[in-house]
Amino acid sequence: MTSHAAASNASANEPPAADVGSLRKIRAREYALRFGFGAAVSVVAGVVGLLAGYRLGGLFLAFPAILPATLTLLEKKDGVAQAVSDVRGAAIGAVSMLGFALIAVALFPRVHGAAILVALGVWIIAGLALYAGLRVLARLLGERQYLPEIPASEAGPALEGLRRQGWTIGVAESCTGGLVASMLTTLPGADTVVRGGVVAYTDAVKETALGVNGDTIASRGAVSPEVAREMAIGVARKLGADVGLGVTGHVGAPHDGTSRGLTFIAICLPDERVFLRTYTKDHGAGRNRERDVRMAIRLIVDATGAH
Amino acid sequence: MDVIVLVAKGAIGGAFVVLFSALGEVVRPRGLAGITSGAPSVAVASLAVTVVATGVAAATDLARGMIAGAIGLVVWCLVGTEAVKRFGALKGSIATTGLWLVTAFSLWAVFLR
Repeated sequence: MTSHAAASNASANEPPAADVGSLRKIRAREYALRFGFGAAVSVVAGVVGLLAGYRLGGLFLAFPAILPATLTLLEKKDGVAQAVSDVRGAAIGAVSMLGFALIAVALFPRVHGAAILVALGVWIIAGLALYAGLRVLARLLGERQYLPEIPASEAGPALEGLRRQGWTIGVAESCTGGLVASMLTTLPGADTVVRGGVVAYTDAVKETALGVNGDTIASRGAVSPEVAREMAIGVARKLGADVGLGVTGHVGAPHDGTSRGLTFIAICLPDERVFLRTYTKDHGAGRNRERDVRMAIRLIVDATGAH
Repeated sequence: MDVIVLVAKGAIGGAFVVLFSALGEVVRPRGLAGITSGAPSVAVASLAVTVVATGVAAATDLARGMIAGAIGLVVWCLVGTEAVKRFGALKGSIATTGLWLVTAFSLWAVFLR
């Protein structure tokens, strides 16, 4: 862990930006799913309109069709805090959508089809204005960012997986500061599978306590897949555990040219296979940490289940 | 004719949903991107096809119904924020969808029927 912790409302001050590269990460199946939901709701609105009147059919033009799917996907990838942020954004979109509908009703008799374009323009302007206004208000009132408590019960499947395999685990943590070990040891019966944990926050501790090679840190950086791997292998060896977990990432602004929010999580199994996960998005310090803890637990679940 | 109109609504509606959700993936931060989750994607497609195929009167009635649906969506989002925190994304959002149905249909029954 080479960077200093940032303020917990880092994402609150994140400026608007576009990341076109993220489009490539979406699978064709996800696009197809969204198309299917959109098409289905459009057809339902059309059929209801034909059978029971256009006013009733019109209800479905504002049906929250893809929100459950989007939120579930978002929670899985980036944590529940991001899903909550999305719903808050959707609320702005929904209020603006009300403006869209009102403008459409008012302008259809006058300008016909062009009313749709005007209403769409109103939706965009109202959405951006509401977003900007709420940002200003949040700064004036003091932002209260939602950071969820992670229920210890979420660690249950990880412990069960380890128990099923008959494995013990050692945990080496940098950016998560011991939270993964804390979650694992909260549940009853953890003593049969958890050997212990090392909070290796500095490079020196990574080297002395875990045996991470100083040259690896110097050449690849403390936040790198190689260091996560060596942390996992090292903690298993030092604590005499069957499985080692290593977590290294940036909490705040990195000073080594890598991106904010970057985290590597590695797990080393008894047969010496190492699984690695990489997370690159920055959601602000608190949310990055929530994601890292959850994803570390999930990696244990996946690695023990996949065996 | 009705079938062709429905197919057109489905195809264009699906395409607009994909377009707006792709926009939501690109934009940062998440709070700003979330606005696209409340985008009138289905509405733009359905209203445009209705204007062309059926006429302005039908489209105006659709938009009237949409007012009730949009109020339902605002309620959905306000309650959904707490529901997702408490029950997680899938359970929270699906449970809240029941609230959308109650709100939207109640408004339709009282003001639009």
